[in-house]
Amino acid sequence: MSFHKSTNQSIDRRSLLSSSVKVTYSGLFTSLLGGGVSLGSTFQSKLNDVKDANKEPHFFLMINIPDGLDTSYLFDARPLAMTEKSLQVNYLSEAPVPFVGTNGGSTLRTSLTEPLMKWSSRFSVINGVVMSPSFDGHDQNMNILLTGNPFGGSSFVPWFNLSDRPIDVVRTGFLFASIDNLDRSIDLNAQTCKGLAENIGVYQGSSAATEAILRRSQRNSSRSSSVGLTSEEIVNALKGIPKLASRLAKVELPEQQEPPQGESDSQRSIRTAKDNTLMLAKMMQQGVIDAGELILDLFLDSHDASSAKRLPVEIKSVVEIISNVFEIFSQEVSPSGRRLLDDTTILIASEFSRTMRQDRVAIDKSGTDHNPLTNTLILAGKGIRGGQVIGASDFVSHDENLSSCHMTLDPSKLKLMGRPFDVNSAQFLNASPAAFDQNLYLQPMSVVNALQDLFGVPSDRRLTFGRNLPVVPSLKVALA
Amino acid sequence: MRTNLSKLVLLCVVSLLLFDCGRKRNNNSSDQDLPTPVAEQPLADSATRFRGYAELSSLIETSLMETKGAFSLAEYMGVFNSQFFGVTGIGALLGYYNPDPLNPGWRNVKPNAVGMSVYLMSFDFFALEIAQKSCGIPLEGKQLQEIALKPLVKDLFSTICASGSNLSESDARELWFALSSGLGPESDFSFWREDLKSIDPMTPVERVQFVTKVSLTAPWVLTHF
Repeated sequence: MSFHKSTNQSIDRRSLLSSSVKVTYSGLFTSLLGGGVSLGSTFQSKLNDVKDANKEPHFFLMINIPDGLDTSYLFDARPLAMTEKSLQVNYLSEAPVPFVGTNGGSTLRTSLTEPLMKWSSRFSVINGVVMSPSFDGHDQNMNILLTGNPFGGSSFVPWFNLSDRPIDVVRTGFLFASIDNLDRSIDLNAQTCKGLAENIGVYQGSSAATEAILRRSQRNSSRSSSVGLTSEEIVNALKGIPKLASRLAKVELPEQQEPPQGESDSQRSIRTAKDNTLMLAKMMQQGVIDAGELILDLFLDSHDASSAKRLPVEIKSVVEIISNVFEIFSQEVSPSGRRLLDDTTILIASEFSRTMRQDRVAIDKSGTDHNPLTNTLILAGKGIRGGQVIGASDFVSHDENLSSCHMTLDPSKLKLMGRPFDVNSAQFLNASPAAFDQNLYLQPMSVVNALQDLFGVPSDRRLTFGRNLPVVPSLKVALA
Repeated sequence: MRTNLSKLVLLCVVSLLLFDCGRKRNNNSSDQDLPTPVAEQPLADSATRFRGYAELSSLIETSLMETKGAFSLAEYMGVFNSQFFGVTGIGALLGYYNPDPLNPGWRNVKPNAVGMSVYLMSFDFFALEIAQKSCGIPLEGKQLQEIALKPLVKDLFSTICASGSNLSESDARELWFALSSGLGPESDFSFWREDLKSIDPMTPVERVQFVTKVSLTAPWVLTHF
């Protein structure tokens, strides 16, 4: 970036702030960092820049659906008879159909899932996941989903940055969760990505300054003092800038269009999610990230009846967004030459499901509340054995005898609850527990630990049942 | 949090004692006048911490500004403002304190590539304001914010603009001390002085930008103790 040379020449700050400036580097700066920067290369050489010949690409995408998605409108449906008995809200008013997995597991699915069925061999449904027997807040259960702890902690998603990219995760929205390891993760969307790409490398300013900063930081790098450790981190961060800038420059996204007139909130959410999906795909393609979080922006927290009645429309949007993810990832090329869907493992989850109805409210006027006693997680893509239905929730008929544990946790019988399940053998337990025993139920940590096994994350990061408690068994049956 | 505030208060007191607004430059200041730098303290715990954005902005204000309450580093972040980063804002990128009762604590307080790029950019633009105030470089367009540098700091930057690295030893020390917020280790001063020689062929604005960026990205400025 050049500056005005004459002291008499004024500088227009506004133009300086808003200008789009090309990224330039001095040869001395790049040699100081020990690496060259490849700019303006062909697509094939872009792939070569990104691809590590010794390492198969393996990306992770989490489709995070905050607000508590009612999975009874997807792959954990209930017969209409339950609605006729005033037990289960069903504003779709259609009978669900059976969905049998290749592993023999089965469930009911609604017509809303139809757009996903062309991909059914690529994903597996995991029903009956018990998030928590006691915590029912959005943030507490999102914390459990991401960290294994209702009080929060380190999210597992950044740990999938195993190629040590300068950015751990790109997240496309806000999550109500208490996460403490997002230092190298950034929130971006398709609109702001371009601005970041244009500006990130520019503000190293003169190479003399950056060289001086690096020299000083390297001089002070050590692990024996706070300053020494920060110096080391500054060096790593500075070294990441040109690499990040060059790769971001290769992320080609379509020009953002003006929103169509009269676009509804749902349509806007679908459109922005699609744009963000393409952004994440391109970033993975160009080696900017190995992990992305597509965070949906839909209103699913249907406590009131009118929101609950709108849910089929909102969930149709959820399905369209997921379907778009599969479409885009099956079209975009991975650095390996395969398709991105072949090289990406996908987890689709909300923080909990919902109650079947509200107490003492007419079934056709009822909203739904939080239900952390069951949840549905979907795994897809690389390393996943697709087509399975794993686990199940209870209360499949109006006259089912519910376990003592269920009745203790849900005396009004408003909720579905995950069935007792042995994670190691992937078999249902013929048990009717009197109380909640975490060893007898399928929990989200088993899914997360299976993903960590798949990615080869160091074993000391496996999620446990709690402080000083054993590691939660991994749901190995989900893996190919 | 209280411990952090009390440490910040201590730093402010030290800075005020040594950089009293009306104090003339003292060519006879000696090393004994400088407090023992905290930058060389051994690691107190395993969690070193980059200063959160708000804390860094406050530190710069305390060290360089005559009055408090008017300065915000975010004003210099251009496209990287809170609108750019959506609802999570600049704190999520550059570190902030989360008072969440379930799990209170500092978040995102390690340097990352994007954050360092943002800081370098913001220090570049901040330096333009300094250049205007100290060196009479006119800037078109609306002021981002009114900054009132401490007279001593303003004078020292004027010297930088006019004379490059040709500062007296005491002036160089005072500028280095101000820009490192009194935290720089003695061992760094000679290196900083040497680095300063790079500015001689530069334009006045480039000189101010160099000094600002190199000094404000010092690890002892960016680390919370």
